[in-house]
Amino acid sequence: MEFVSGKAIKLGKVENELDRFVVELARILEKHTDYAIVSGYVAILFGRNRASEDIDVIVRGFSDFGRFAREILGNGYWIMNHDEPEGACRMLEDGLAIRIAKKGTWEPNFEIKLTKMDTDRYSLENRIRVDLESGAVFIGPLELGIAFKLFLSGEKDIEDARFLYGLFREHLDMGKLEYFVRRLKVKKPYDKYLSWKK
Amino acid sequence: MRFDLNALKEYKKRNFEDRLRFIDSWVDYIKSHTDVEWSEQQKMLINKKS
Repeated sequence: MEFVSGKAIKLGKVENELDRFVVELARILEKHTDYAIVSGYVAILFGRNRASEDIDVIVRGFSDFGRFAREILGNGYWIMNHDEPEGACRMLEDGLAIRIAKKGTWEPNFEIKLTKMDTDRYSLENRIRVDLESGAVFIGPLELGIAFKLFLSGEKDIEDARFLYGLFREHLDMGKLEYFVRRLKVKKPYDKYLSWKK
Repeated sequence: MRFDLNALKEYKKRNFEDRLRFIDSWVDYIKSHTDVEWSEQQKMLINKKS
């Protein structure tokens, strides 16, 4: 993998079925809104050896959700938690997530929600483009992603944080990472699981 | 049946530590090999699960 700039990474991986699912759906999504993939899939994208049933995606909002829904449905996907696009749009506006998968399947699925918190907005404004052979995907910034994984604090989350930290530590902005660690109050797990590797 | 909760907790702790060590080794492997080499292995695992 190659850091093209602070905002782009070129990844020459052999894509797996999960990557293909993400690239195809992201290609449709980006025509309708800005998005950033956050949480578990980011670690998987860069090589973490585990599966994930949902891909967490933050979006800025849709100018025309009906048009997005029609394109999704016309390309062999379904919105899992509402039969009607209008209802799915209301769910998003109410702060709930909608889930999209290939028709007839439940996983993997995109779990899409609108930006709500400052951390969501930061992820979108500082997203990183990852160029794969079949297309590009946008992910949230690594420093916030790692600190947030420590905040979630499950064993799987700490493993993801350790993986991303180990892989990218020469490229991370340590000042930013430590800022997020302080703001999310995760200094203790940071010291225990990550910073010993500095 | 008796459950030795202390022994089970110790087992859980060691298992987690072992996984962290494995992750460190896998990170070293990724950094020292091409994207194609590590991702072929990941593809086998993920495609099998999905």
